[in-house]
Amino acid sequence: MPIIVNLDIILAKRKIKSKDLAETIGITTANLSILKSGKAKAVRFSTLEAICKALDCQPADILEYVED
Amino acid sequence: MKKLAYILSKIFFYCFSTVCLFIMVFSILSYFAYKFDMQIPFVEVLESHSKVNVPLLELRINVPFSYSIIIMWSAMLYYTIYFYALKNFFKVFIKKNMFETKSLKRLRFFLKLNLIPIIYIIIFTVSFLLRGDTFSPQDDYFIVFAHLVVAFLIYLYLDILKKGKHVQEENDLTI
Repeated sequence: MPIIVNLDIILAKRKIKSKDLAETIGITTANLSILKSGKAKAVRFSTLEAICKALDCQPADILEYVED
Repeated sequence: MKKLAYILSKIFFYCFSTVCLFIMVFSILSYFAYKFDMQIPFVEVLESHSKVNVPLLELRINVPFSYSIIIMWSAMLYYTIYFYALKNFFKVFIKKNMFETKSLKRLRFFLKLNLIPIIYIIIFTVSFLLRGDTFSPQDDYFIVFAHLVVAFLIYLYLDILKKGKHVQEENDLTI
């Protein structure tokens, strides 16, 4: 898929664990793992909003479009 | 209503399979009774065939002492499997999550089972035509037609289930 999820990079920069982020935004670690691995088919605006709020970033920092 | 259909199909399957098993066992025993002149309960040995009396249901099944018994056994076995698949077909609709691979497999199996009578009727018709015998297959054709109608409905259900499964997968992968 040409949409890359850079959540791992942001998490590393902020020195936040996946488990902690999952707890903060209220999703399961399994779902966060799906999102990080790029297997997710869609992201809800509410989830994106919660991630941006928790990591103090913009949606563009998390999602990136790369030509195939 | 769906649960009632499932329970009824389950009861019907167990009753039907019990009766079939009873007939199969006693048709084998009737052959021994015929060959060795034995007395076996529920079995009435006649000249070229025997009669198996099914208790409670008051059924009197003719059991021939020839290879045609294989056709009878195959039909009984087919309908036992058929009613088992029917039970599983109704089970799909009472499950909390019906859009599963297992449900699709169950429906596919039931669809294939409904197509088997076509093979039977083709072989049956061809064999009669080759031998030049006269036959009146109206009843058999009606049964095959009924199976085809069921197969068509199952095919439509299968298509709905496939689309449902796709939507379910997309929903599950929406974070």
